[in-house]
Amino acid sequence: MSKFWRYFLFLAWMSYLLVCGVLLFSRGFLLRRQVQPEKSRCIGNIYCSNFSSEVGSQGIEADCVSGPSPLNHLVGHEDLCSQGRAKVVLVVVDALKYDFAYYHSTQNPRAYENRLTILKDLIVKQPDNTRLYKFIADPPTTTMQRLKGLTTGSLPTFIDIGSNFASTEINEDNLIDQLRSKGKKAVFMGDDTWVGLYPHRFEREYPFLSFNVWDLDTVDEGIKKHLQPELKQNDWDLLIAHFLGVDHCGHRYGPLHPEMTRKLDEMNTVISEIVESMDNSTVLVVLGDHGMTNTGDHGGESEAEVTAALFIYSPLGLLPQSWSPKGGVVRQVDLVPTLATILGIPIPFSNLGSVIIDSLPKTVAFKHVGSTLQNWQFALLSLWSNVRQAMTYIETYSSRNNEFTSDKLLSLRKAFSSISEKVKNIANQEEFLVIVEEGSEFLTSLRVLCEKVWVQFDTYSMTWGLIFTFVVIMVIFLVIEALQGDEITFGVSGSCLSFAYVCLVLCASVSLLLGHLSIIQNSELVFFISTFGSSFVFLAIVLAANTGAILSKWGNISKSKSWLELFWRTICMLSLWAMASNSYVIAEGQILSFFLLSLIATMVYCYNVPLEELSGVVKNKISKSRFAWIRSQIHPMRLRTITVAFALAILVRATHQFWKCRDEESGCNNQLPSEPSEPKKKDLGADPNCLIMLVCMALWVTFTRMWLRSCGNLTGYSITVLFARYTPTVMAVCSGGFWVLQGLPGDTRSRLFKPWQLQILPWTVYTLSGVSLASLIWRPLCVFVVKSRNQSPTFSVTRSENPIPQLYNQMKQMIGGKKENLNQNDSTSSSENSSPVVYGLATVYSASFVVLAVILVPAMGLLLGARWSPALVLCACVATCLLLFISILRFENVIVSVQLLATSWPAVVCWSLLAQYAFYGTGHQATFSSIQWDAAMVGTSGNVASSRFVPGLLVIVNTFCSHILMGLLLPLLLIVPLTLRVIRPQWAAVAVGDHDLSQGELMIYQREDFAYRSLTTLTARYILLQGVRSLACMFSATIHARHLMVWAIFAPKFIFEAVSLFVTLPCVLFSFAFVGRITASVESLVNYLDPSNSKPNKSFDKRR
Amino acid sequence: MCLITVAYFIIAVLFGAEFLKKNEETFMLSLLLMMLTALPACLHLGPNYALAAVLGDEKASLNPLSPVLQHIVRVTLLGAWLGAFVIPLDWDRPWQEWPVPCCVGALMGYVAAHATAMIQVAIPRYITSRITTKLH
Repeated sequence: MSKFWRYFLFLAWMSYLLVCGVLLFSRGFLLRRQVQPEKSRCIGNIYCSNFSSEVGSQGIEADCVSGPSPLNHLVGHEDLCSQGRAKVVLVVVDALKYDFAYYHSTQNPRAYENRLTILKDLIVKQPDNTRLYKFIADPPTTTMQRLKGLTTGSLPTFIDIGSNFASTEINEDNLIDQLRSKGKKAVFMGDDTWVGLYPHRFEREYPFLSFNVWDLDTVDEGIKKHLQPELKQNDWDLLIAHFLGVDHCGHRYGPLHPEMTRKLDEMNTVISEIVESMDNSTVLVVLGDHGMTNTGDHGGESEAEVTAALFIYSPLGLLPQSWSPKGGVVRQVDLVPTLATILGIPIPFSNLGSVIIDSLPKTVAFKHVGSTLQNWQFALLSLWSNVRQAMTYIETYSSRNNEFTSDKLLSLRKAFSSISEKVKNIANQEEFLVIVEEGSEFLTSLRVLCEKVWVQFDTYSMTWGLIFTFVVIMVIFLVIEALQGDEITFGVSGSCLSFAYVCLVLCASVSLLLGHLSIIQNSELVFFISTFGSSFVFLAIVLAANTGAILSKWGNISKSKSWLELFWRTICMLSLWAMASNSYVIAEGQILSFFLLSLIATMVYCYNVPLEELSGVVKNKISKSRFAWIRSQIHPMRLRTITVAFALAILVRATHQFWKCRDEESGCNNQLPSEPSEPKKKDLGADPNCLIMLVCMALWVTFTRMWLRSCGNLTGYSITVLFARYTPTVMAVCSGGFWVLQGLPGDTRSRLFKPWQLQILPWTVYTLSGVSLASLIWRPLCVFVVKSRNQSPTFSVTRSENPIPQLYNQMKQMIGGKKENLNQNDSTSSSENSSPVVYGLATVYSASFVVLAVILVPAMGLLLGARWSPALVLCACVATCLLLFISILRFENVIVSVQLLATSWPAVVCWSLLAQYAFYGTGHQATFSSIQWDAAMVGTSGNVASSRFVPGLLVIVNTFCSHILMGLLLPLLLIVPLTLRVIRPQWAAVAVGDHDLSQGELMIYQREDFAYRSLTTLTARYILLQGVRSLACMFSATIHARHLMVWAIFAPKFIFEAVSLFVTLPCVLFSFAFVGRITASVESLVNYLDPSNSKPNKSFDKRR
Repeated sequence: MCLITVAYFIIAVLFGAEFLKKNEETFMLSLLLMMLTALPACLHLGPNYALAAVLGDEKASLNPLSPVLQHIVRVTLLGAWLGAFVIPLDWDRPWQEWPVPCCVGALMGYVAAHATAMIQVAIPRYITSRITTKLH
């Protein structure tokens, strides 16, 4: 195993461990629940299981033969669900705490106490018609999560993996959809969150903006205006009125403020008006979706926040209180089956609540025509359908994944079958009461079980994930920093390491095999434990073998820290620390650009002009121009760094306009401008975005081509060169053309093209980029060999399209070559005449990477679309500037040429910051709603459902394009200083007249050992920085696990950071391997040119 | 002076200040920065060396005040830089408005710079003068 591959394997090992650590953490942190697409429906036979064929029906009794059951006569009835038909007025008073509704018998009530007198009056006057409960919400107590719970009856988890998680629309089975499917009408007024969850589902809707927390009255006044007319209209079955004033008042003033008194009095009036104007077949439900703390906020899980009030009033009277085993406390999800029963619709499929029996209206049971159902039979029916629905749900859910352990399922099944046996044989009310007890117990245990699986973090996995990741990062740090330079020999012999790798593969395969054969229950955990266990043993051996080196290194760390060193460390720490604060996460794009520019400014400030040149240049150039004064003040090298840094800063600032803002920021409406403007466009060239995109792409391709040509890398006919010469143009035209055509108005487009014709363009781009990448890997060199020197001048002039840069280069190379030949004349026997000419050998490494970039950028531009692809080009330009800047700075303190190969920490930090920033710069945000889903449709003809893989890949490439690009181009940081020295010697002020430098990038090949070592250091540092960021995200997600913003901010941030790490690592490793591939090709080229002399002296060739 | 003010303005915009809105505020900040950094340097060193001092050339001038002035420039700019940290926080305080924190930071940095410079320069002077008087 060569040294190169040993380094590579070590890096791959570390990356693998990092990925494992992050995965282990996310396994514990990300609560998952799959959304089940089924809808409940009414079935003819109440004892039959409607899912028996699909599920396997172990638990659900499949025999539909019924005994002497009280409900027997209903068997076969068409529409069982419409047994209890009543209308419901659902008044949601946001943040109506139980204390607000409950009547306190105190002398001097507080601001919020005893204001809702209508509730108290009703309770006192008609105790049989009213119920008041403590209404326990499930955390997180935010309105949107609560509304989901209130309509679907399910528990909230972070990711409800559904078919479409781009929008907030609910596609799980819910009350509103059930109403619609039964042909009933729902009317809604109030908080516009509902409309986001249920677009186009209401018969009439009066949404009002819920955003402004300081506005106490707009929403409520709007509702009041529409409420009475709607009540009179009386064609609905469910009327929802969602008042926000109380919540906003709590946020702004707190519950003890006089304003709260005013708002509650207002609510009191509203409720009494509703009570007066409602008819007998209506049930009034007043509820708070969550409570509030003493300061008036909500979102967490403290008792004050989760305890809301639920008030139910029916003029017809309710079932007796003694029938319900719940007492005065109900769960929020319990409302769903209750409402479904009252409204006469099937209970939503994924409901976990249990029906509140004593709040079912009494008389509706008798209203049903031709039915002799008694009250207790009605209650039994509703309870039974609830139990059956919940069991069906659990069976369906657990048949699709194994989150529930089998013994728990078994006990649930047992309980279910005993209930179903009893239900069939109930004869009277006393037996019914027993079954009520048992049924509620069953439903409660089921809900608790689900809560355990879905709501609780797996702290065990989280802790170990954190610890493992931390240890891996520490090890990388120790190995790379302490064993810098010559000492990375991995202590013990390579056999130990290879043994470690074999061990890892063995661990993975064995645990997967065991899991596959289901010999062990939890294969993932076994996998993680064995992987980390074996890895740490070997890491410990490596570290132990190097203890001496590490300790001496730590001892040697100099006390003299320069300002720059202090500064970049501070910036690293601050950018990590920023992950822990929600406002900094929101403003992260801004912060990253701020840090990047600060770091660059500091680097400019700390830049010392190389001393040797200081004397000569300044004095000579005192010209009379306007800038003479500036010239006299500032050294030209310094001026150059300032200029480059300035250009870089302008480019970075220019990408600011491509930012997407988050919903949390005020005044954010980034989706709006693009959508409505589209239909207005009539003329073809009107879309400025497309034009800008085309121009940017064209500029990018042209400039990179010019660069490559001036380096002599576009000469000749090798397959890579051919691809590099022609494909970028074609790709840029295709991707630009695709978006121009997409921008056309729909009817014009459909008249001109068939859909598949449009898809040709993206497919051309995909194919070309794939083929070019393959050729680049197969033949990574962009060089052109001319055997004899005598031919070369004429040859190159006639063959190359643009002779001027060629000539210029040639002359320059000749001079360089002569110098080199002088040095080598003694050692080598070759004469000048016979030495072959190789075009572009001086830039052989960078050319391959530039070709890589020039292929990738148009392809990514295609995915990013017309609006964001200029941002990508800008970011690529920023990267170019950064490379230039860093390579100028690299020459600062160089004494020996090999020092050029060492990449400094600030450079890596800059590169990493830029990769992070470009994520925001290309119009992304760490929220799920801001993912650019359009990318999935590019070239897939829009049939996303056919396969998830390709669209998913496209979206990932779109979202993490910056990470991919910067990861792949990482070795350029090492290479470019050498390029700069050859191509623009005057920019690379250097004090050493080392002949190594004039060879350009061939030096990497000659100083192979050293180059690989520093490349390993560079890559490992980059991996380290990305890993530390992921670690910081994990850490902040852990400490904020119960923060109210965790699902809105920290968890998405963690997910995006983790995925970016997963994307970055393969890219970095690929680029590392790619350098090795280039070196191998160079070696074979050298051998081919000069078979006799390759071994002792590799520096024989001439460059062009 | 004007040039330096404009330069500060451009730098502020590059670092993320709003470009077309709040021009006046940004201009005020750059004016303040100019007065705190470039003006003393100009007054003490003369315009020819001021720029070099601001840019941080070590041996720009033989004037003994030059390192002190450089120190002041650095710490003032550092203060303004640190001041920007509170802007994104969601506390909704009036003093978080751009460019108040940066101005306050710059002023505080200026004060701190003077204090540290005094400690660095004045106290050794004082001690040496005491010693010399004692020797006499």
